[in-house]
Amino acid sequence: MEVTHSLTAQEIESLVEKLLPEVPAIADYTFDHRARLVKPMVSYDAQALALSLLPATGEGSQSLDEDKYTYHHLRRDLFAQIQAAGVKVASRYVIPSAHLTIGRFVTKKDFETADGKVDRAKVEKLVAMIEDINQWLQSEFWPKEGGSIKDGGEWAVGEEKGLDCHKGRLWYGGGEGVHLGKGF
Amino acid sequence: MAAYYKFEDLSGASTPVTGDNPYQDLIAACHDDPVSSTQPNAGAASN
Repeated sequence: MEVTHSLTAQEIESLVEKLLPEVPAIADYTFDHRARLVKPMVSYDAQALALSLLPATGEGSQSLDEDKYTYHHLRRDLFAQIQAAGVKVASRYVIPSAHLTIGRFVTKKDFETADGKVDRAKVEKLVAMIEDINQWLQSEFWPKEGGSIKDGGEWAVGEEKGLDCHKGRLWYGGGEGVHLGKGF
Repeated sequence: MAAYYKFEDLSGASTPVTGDNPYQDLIAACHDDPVSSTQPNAGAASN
């Protein structure tokens, strides 16, 4: 959850100070509110590659009823808690997917021919490689018929570590840690 | 709803933002049902 962006360090510090009393409760929220994600798949568009996941729907060890609390509910509750602390959430985007960004295409040159045109062969190779990875993910880590899931094929948000509140320049896990919530 | 919220949704689905908490709108769009959220047409088919 991006609380805000493109502000000065001083402006961010003032928001952090306002939010700080509530941060432990927010960062620990996943200890008692568990959203489970399954079906990892590499997805891509013109800007980036990501590992995307879907909400669990009763696969593996949990029932559909236990999976009613999804990552949409988790994001909704975090949004509400931050606003209730008096900090207006001003994310750049409201993101409907659950994904981890693997990398961004910061230049086109790796997929261009010498004369600057799209090198279709290179793009085709990349897409084929992504499709191979996805076939492997699906055969190894997606729920099997009957519902069982191999270790590593599901992620309950808050496993091992709670939510990690950071401030500053946050891209790709950067920034300065404010508080790490408790995991389960 | 604040006008500055923008959905970055590449699915082609239409998700109107109507309330103060945009994530509540996503839940409503999925009929508060995780099965609908994994199968975008499931909710529409049941309507």
